[in-house]
Amino acid sequence: MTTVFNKIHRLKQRPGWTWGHFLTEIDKCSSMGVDEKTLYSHFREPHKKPNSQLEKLINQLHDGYFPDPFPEALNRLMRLYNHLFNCKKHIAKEKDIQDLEFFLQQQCEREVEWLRISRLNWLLGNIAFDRIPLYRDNGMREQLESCKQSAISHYQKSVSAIEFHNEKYPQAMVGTSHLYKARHNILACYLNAVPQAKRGKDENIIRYLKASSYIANSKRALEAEPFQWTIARNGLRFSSLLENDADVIYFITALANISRRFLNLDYEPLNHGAINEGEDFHWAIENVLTSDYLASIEMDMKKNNKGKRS
Amino acid sequence: MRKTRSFILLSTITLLLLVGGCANAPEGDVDGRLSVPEPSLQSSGSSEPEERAKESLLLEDSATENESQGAVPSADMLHKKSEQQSDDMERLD
Repeated sequence: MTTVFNKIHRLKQRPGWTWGHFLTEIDKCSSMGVDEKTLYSHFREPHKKPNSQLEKLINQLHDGYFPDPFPEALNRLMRLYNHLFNCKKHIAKEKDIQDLEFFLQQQCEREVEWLRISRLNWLLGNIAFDRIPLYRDNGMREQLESCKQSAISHYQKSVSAIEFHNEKYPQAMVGTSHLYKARHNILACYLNAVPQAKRGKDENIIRYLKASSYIANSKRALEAEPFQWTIARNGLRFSSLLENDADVIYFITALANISRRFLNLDYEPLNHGAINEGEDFHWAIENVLTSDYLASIEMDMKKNNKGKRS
Repeated sequence: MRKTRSFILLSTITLLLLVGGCANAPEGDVDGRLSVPEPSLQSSGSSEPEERAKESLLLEDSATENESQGAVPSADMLHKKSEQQSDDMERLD
């Protein structure tokens, strides 16, 4: 979720951050700098992949102004696990992951600090989460159910620990975006555990979607940060699964406001497939997102832009 | 003049044939002798690569059999068999 695109937008929202000021801040971080055109194109285009230099600079700036509330040591451990999980050449990867999991469980039992408890549970949740596609694709139902429940339970514990921390330290509250992310992961456990073709009719997904107020929370998150296209895209996905046309319209409009490119359903933003290719969007495409409707949104947007200029 | 041209043409063809022949010939060792494969110690006479190929086929067969009988494959094997579906939800850190 926190891509370079989002980070640039979040920084740009800060009071007094004109493009000139933005570039000055970047120059303070590195003598190499970034030219205005590159920065602006990454601000406008959700599909643009940044080079390592730009990514490093934006991360550095972002971390300075929006420091992560979790302990750095555990964030680094999380990065280490991500590298291990994504490494295709690592021999006996699962055994090493199991060893790490054992260590984390031991740490979790001894831990007393709420943010450490939260992050340790988050990482344990991630480990279980990453096993879900393996068991689903190999038809191993018992293992699938077990790792799904384990992931959900760890993410729940992580959310509770953040809430306890926020109650205890109101002066150092963890932002709502972290709570949103953990809850998003719980929903992702429900969704990913079901093969794509059956998701629209899966009772567990529908029940959790309704009980968790996911759509309402997504709208609230978008009001605070309207540039979060992944939130809008997931909102669209679940509105489609719930077959709710009003919400489909809400989220496609939110996406179009971020970039008009989203009105082309074949558009592929960074690290995501096109809406046209996703089975979860099927109902929305068939019933709401017709080419005429998409064209009408584009026309309205053009008219509004002309109105603003004149 | 004609004889000279024919001679040059013939020489070129012969040279090309010689070069082509050398390139396809089995490599010799330093002394110029041709290296002959060591006779197999096994009485069956089948070569090592063939044996390996058979062995790997047997391994693949037995893995498939284990799965069809409900045996649990190792997680590392599962990792190789599973790719994330194109529209799975990504987790957030």
